Amino acid sequence: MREIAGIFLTLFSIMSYFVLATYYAVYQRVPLPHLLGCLVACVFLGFTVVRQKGWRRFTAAAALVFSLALTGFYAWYTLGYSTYDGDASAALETSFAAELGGLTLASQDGEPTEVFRTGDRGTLYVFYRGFW
Amino acid sequence: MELVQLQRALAEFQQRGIRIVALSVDGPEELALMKESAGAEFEFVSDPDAKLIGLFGIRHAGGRIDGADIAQSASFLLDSTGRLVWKRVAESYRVRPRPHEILEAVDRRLGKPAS
Repeated sequence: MREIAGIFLTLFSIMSYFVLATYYAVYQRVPLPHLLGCLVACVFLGFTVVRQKGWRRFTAAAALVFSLALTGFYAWYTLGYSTYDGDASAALETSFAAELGGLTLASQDGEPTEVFRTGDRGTLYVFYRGFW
Repeated sequence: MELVQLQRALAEFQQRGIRIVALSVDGPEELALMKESAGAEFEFVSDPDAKLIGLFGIRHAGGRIDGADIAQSASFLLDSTGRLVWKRVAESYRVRPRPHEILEAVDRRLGKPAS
């Protein structure tokens, strides 16, 4: 039971981060509460390993290793992997009229789509990494 | 996901006369999947040769798992003449601008639409 509670807390700490970002636009550069949740789960499982005996100690140790691995992966992903090196993007006030005027690219239907239309009051381009 | 948030605020962007275009190096099939997954009604455009990604200076060299170049997560607002009036380039692709921040930038840089 304690093992399940520890793993549940680890998973909850990680999944809640993604739910908050996806559905509530809570973007955290350093997701401290979620990392703390994982840490608490690992400490709890660590105490469980020390207190249990026999096969219960083995299952607690397995749960601890699993939680530590998840926590390590989550920390690596949020603090290292997902960060960029610098910003070399176009400067404000740059005009893209010449480059974008008349340029067409394929839409989600495969149809040619004008990237820039002069009739719009403004255009918001949102670049994303891709579909995984 | 930023695209989900933008969809939720789509009416406010439309009210301001702002066209939203989502771009990535993906082909049309993947774009369609992403559009469906985000429940988005705005346009998705494929930039397989990273033409626009290069133009806006947001190439993430070798960023895809297979080593291909992809876009750095970023948002750019152009006015009706094609001038770049606002941008947000993510320092981490997990941290995106919220729709209300973009709408504030729209109102600040392009003015509020006549009601």
